[in-house]
This record gives sequence, C-alpha cells and structure tokens, in this order.
Amino acid sequence: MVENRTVFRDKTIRYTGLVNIAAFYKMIDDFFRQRGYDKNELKNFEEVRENERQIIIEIIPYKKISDYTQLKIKLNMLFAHLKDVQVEGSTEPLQSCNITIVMDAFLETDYEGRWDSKPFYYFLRTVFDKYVFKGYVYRNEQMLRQHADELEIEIKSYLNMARYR
Amino acid sequence: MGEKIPLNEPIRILYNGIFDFDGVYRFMYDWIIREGYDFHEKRYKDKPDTHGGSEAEIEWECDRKETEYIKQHLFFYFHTRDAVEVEVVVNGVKKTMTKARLEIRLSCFLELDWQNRFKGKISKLFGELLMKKILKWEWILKYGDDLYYRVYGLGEQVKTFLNMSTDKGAY
Repeated sequence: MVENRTVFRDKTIRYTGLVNIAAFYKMIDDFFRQRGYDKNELKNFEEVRENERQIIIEIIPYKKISDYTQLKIKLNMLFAHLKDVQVEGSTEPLQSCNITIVMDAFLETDYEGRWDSKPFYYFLRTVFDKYVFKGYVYRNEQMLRQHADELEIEIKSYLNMARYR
Repeated sequence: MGEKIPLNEPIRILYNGIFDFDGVYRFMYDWIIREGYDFHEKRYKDKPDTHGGSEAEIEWECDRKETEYIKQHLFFYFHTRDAVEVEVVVNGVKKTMTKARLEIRLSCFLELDWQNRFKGKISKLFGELLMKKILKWEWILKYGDDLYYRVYGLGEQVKTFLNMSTDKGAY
C-alpha cells in the first residue's frame, strides 16, 4: 500500500478575464516537463453549450525521485463561462472565462508496495522513514513545496495577477 | 499468459457537443492499424432511440508483440450518450454529425512473458529475476515509456480532431 504524505491541500487560484486557454494549458505542461515530471492526465472534459463552453481538467503529474519515493502535484482546473473573444489589434485567439485552479501536493513513499507485504517490513519502513531517513523525506518535501510554489508564481505571472508574498 | 503491468490510469476524454463520431472511430482505427497493432473489437453495444437519444458502448483491445517476452496492449473504451444526428454546414458543405456526450478512455499495459516460457517452479524464479531485477529498467524505459507517451499523443490527436481547446501539450 502506498504511503501518501500530504504536503498541502486546496491551494486555490481564481481568475476572471481574458486568457489564451491553449497556450495556458501548454504552459502548465511545459512547466512539468522542464522539471522532469511524467504526464498523467486523468480527465479532460469539454462541454460545448449554445453561447459558451466549459472545460474541466484533472492532472496528477508525478516525478519518481527513486524506486521508493515519488512526488505528485494534483491540479483540478475549471474554465467556466468560456467565450471566444476578438481583441482589436491582436490576432491571438483569446477567451474570456472564469478560471479556478485547485492544487494539492503529495509525497508518496513505497509506491511499488515492496515494504507492506509483512507487518515487520511495514514496521521497519515506518521506523526508517521517521528516524533514519528523516533528512531525505524533509528534503523531498521541500523540493515538492518549491515546485508547487514555482507553479503558482508561473500561473499568476501568466495571468498577470498581483503577486504578493 | 504472462503478467500484465498497467502503465497508466485510464486517460478520460469527455466531450459534450457536436462532433463527427464516424470520423473519430475511423481516425482511431487508422492509427491502430498504422502503428501495427492487432485490432479486436471486443464489444459493440448500441441502444437506439432511448430516452434523449441513442447510446453506444464500444470496447477495443489491441496488442502488438515487441519481443519474445514483451507484448504491448491497448484498451480503448468509447461511450456516447443522448446521441442525435444533426446536419451542420462545414466550410459550405452540408454534413451529418452527432450531437452527444462522448467519453473516451485510453489505457495501456505491458505483458511480460506472454509466451509463458517460464512455466516451471525454478524457471519462474529465473524469469522473475530476469524481468523484474536485471532487465527491469530496460523494458520500463524502452517499451513502457514509449507506449505510455504514444497513447498520450493519440489522446492529443483525438482532442485536436474534436476541436478541443486543450489539445496541445508539451510532451
């Protein structure tokens, strides 16, 4: 059984305005690719209505640090009331919409399930994680937190949102 | 029958609108044949004229032998609900398309020792030692990763065909 350590949950970004959805999605994909994450798109839902569209995307890209630890960042994105907009003097395809992005980050250990076949192995794993490999676990958590912070800054910068820390 | 190892959670593409279902069907079929997979349509369930429209469920299973020990498997699932045929004008030409809720699920897995050569007790141990310890990263990177991203590429092509906004990824 995989041991999931939640680094943070429900970090939300909300935005209403103009955005190029295709470029925004590619930007997020690029971000994960540059940091060595593997793509994992669970759901991509696009609903076309009479006057508007709605897109729901769920991705959980993951990065295997070793054969024991992997980092996961889960993104739930909702693009609501999406309408195509033509801005004067610009050829870029833009859409006006409400964006809601909810971010969670998890540190997964023993994702291959090697250390849970017997109770003694499980005990050993827990003791090692808590006392012997404490530094490694902390370092991996900090790496995950840093990636999530960078992603948040990247998204806010792309959407030209105010960034106050 | 060897051990089947799933490479991904099923990729779900959901679309609600007007699209060319025959086109999607033929497009994906052409992709499978072009890539050299053996095609099996496991199920084709069609419920015409139910409340709200017709419903169809299609399951495809495709496989391709990579080596004497490794076989790639693809599993595709299509589900259309509330489907009605509509006539639309595309580039000045009248075309019959489908207005429906479409769900496509794409998943892939690798089968090790598909010829079941490591049958006996001791042979099985050697087989496991070979595939899970000695050659583990070779087949994961060479065949697993390749198949994994190929399926994602197909998913993006399907999204482009359906004219979805998030069809261009970075991988």
